[in-house]
Formats: sequence, C-alpha cells, structure tokens
Amino acid sequence: MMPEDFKQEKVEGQVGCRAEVVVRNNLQKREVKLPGIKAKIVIKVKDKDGNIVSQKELPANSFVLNFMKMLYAVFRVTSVGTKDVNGNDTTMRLTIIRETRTYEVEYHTTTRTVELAGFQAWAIKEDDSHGIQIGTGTTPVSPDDYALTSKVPNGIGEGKMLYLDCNVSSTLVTGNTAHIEIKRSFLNYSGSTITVTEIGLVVKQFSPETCFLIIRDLIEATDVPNNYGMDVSYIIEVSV
Amino acid sequence: MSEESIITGYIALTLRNKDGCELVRVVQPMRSLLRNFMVMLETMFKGEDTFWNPPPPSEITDVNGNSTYLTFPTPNGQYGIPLGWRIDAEAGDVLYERGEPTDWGIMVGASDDPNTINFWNLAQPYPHGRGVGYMNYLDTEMKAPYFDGSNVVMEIKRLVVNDSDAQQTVREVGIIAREFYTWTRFLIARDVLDYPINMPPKSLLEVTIIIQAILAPYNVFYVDDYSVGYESSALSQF
Repeated sequence: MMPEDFKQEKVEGQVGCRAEVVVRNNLQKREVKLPGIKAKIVIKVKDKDGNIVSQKELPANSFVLNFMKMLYAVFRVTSVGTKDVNGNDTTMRLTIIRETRTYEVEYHTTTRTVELAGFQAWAIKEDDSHGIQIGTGTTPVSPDDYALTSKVPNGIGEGKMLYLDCNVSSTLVTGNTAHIEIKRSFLNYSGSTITVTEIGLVVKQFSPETCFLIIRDLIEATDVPNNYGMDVSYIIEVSV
Repeated sequence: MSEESIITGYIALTLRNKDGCELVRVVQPMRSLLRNFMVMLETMFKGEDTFWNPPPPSEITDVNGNSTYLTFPTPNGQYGIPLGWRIDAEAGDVLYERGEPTDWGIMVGASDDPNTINFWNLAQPYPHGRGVGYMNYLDTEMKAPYFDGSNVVMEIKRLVVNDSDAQQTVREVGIIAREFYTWTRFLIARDVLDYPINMPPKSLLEVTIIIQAILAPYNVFYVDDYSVGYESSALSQF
C-alpha cells in the first residue's frame, strides 16, 4: 500500500532495463542514526534554596584530539605526545605512581605514601585543575584545543565560582545501553551574574603529573545569578 | 539522548584469494561498543588514589565470563611506566610460540547471534590455528590518531588467513583488549556482519576498523530547554 503522498511512475526500457521513479510530495526529514559513543550535557541552574529554575539538555559535540590520544595510549600501552592544559608539550600515558605526599584536610596536615593512577576525571572540592570545568569563552571548538578559552576559576569573588567535588558514576545498564555520568556543582558567590558559555572535561595523570582537556563544548549562554548554583553532568553512553 | 554520535566507527572488510585478487570488499558501520568499553572508561576516569579512596569502578566481564576489576598492576614495582589494555596484538604464531594467549586484538567468529550490551566474548570465535574451525591471525596494528580535516580518526587493522582446506564463513567481528600485565582479556566491541564473508581456502581477510570522532559541527549547538519546552538547532554567531 503506497502512501497518498507518493507518485510512482514506471518506464519500461527496450533491453531488459526499467527505471522506477518514486516522487514524494512532501520533503521529510530523515534521521541518520549513527552508532557509537554518544554524550550529552545536562545543566541545571538552582536558586539559593536548591530549587531548579532552569534545566537544559544539550548534545556534547566535541571530543577533541586528546580524547583519541588517550584511547590510543591505553590501547597501545604507550606514551603519546600532546599538549596539556597549560599548552606545554608533554606525554600522555596511563600509569601508576607511588610516592609520599602531604595533604591538608580540614586544617590538618597529613603525610602519606600513596598510589595514584589513571586519567582521573573526579576531583575534590575547590580543585579546579581537572574534572568538569566551566568557562565564558566563545571560540569555536577545534580538534587541537587543550584548554577552555576562558575558564571561570574556583573561588569567591568577581569572575569566580566555587567548584564543588566532581564525581564519576558507576556504569549503568539500561536495556541495550550502558552509560556513565560525570557530575559537578558550581556555586556563584561572585556578587554578580556569570554567563557560562563553554564546558569541558579535563583529566589528570600522574607521570608526568599534568592535566589534559578531552572534551570541550560551546553551550547556549546560561546565566547563573549571584547566590545561585549550577549542576553540570556529562553523560557518556554506548549502545548496541 | 541525541541520536548524533560523537564517536562512531566503520568496519571495512577486504577478502583476497591466495593469488591476491580481491574477491569482496564491504564496509559497514561499527555498531557495537559494549558495556565493557564503558567500564574501561569508568576505570580510567576513576583511576586509583589510596589517600582519597574514590569508590571502586564497576567490574568488567572477561572472555571467560568471569567478573573482575580492571587494575593498574606494576610488575616488579616499576611505577611510572605505561599501563593499559592492549588491542594491538602480535601475530597468533608469535604469541603461541611464547605460550601466551592468542585470543585478543581484532578477532572474527562464525555466529550471527544478535548483540546485547553485556556480550563478553564472540559467540563463536575462530581460535588461532590452521585447520578447519581456526583462523591464522597476523598482527593487529593501530595507527596513531590524526585529524583528517573534519574528523579525528584512529585506525585498527588485522589480517586473518583461512589456512584450512575448507571454506569458512565470518559473521561476527570483535575487539578484545588485554590488560598488559595480568593478561585479563575482555571484549569491548562486537559486530554482526550485514553480509557474511565466505572465505575460500587459503584466502586472506583484511579487517580494518576506523574509529572517528565527529568534531563537526564545531559551531552548531542544539537546544532542548525544559523550562520553555522548545527544541531547535542554530548556527552560533561566535
């Protein structure tokens, strides 16, 4: 049964050839569903009482070259040359180190020998060196990006926002999809509205110790008024 | 979730006979990164920190069906050396001579069982070997990622030879990663072929997997705003 908006015409040729033309009256959008890794960003702006005043869900368009270099380093068990968030040429490698470090927690200083490994996307409160970062830059994404154009630094005061801890969820399976969520909250005590226009994910390695931008996205300008907060989630998903 | 994938892949298969003549060439989308891949990412992103002790990552399911954690093992206390989960496998013969497992890298199989996200091995893999029911696996190679002008591309390739005297059919292709020092092996991707490949005796199959990150559109963003209930896309004016 042919839909009404179709016209069909058949032209018989001479030597066993036949052309068949199907004309659809109304142009229709055709969705192309590419498989692979998908990602989205969920942004919630909250007032000082924690009420959600706006929520957006945006596709994360831009895993940059460093993401693929990270996978390459892991899949080949090797070091890969690239730029860190400071623009320095360095090497990216998945590794583990063991060393003695001094930590200050709740005004207490502790020295411990620790083991540190991975490309860490989680971060503790007020550590804006890695994890999800936010910024006010508007430069289009390019594959060689190594930092946000204009990061909003951690802090209280003009142009700053307080970075809370950044967490990586466990892998969750729903039907034939699996996803992880990386989430961070930010608080604006700057005294004025901050308009966020870019978001990125930065991971930290330990030998050499440095950080790499692996995702950077421009987003629709999102105002975070003074005394308001913003939750940002990257949700990365694969499906079969 | 948007239907747009930011990282996608293709599988290109080229079959040649023993004289090198090309018999078949097909390309299809790589559809099936699995839960194990996502757990691998989770493990990388969580890492290890014996001071702050973040929650442990999820467990993968290895090629034997056992649940286990991916780890960051250090042979003989060699801290700081590269670790990872290899997929650039040596030739099966080389591994066999060393007495090491050969079932990793790009692997092929005979089953067309539909995929599920939790697959942990090919449904009917051809092990390395030369008789009927086996395939002779040469190296799995990887090219360093590069930007081709519109995508960031990474290429993985393996040659597979049917050294038996019978025709054998390939219906599934997978990638198995190997933890470098513990030899834990786990399937991260599996695809059932749209067109099964019938490999004549002594024929050679080149399997190339292209993984590409779609960076374009650089300056297009989509808006789905719950508060006002509209959905649109727009070219940014930046």
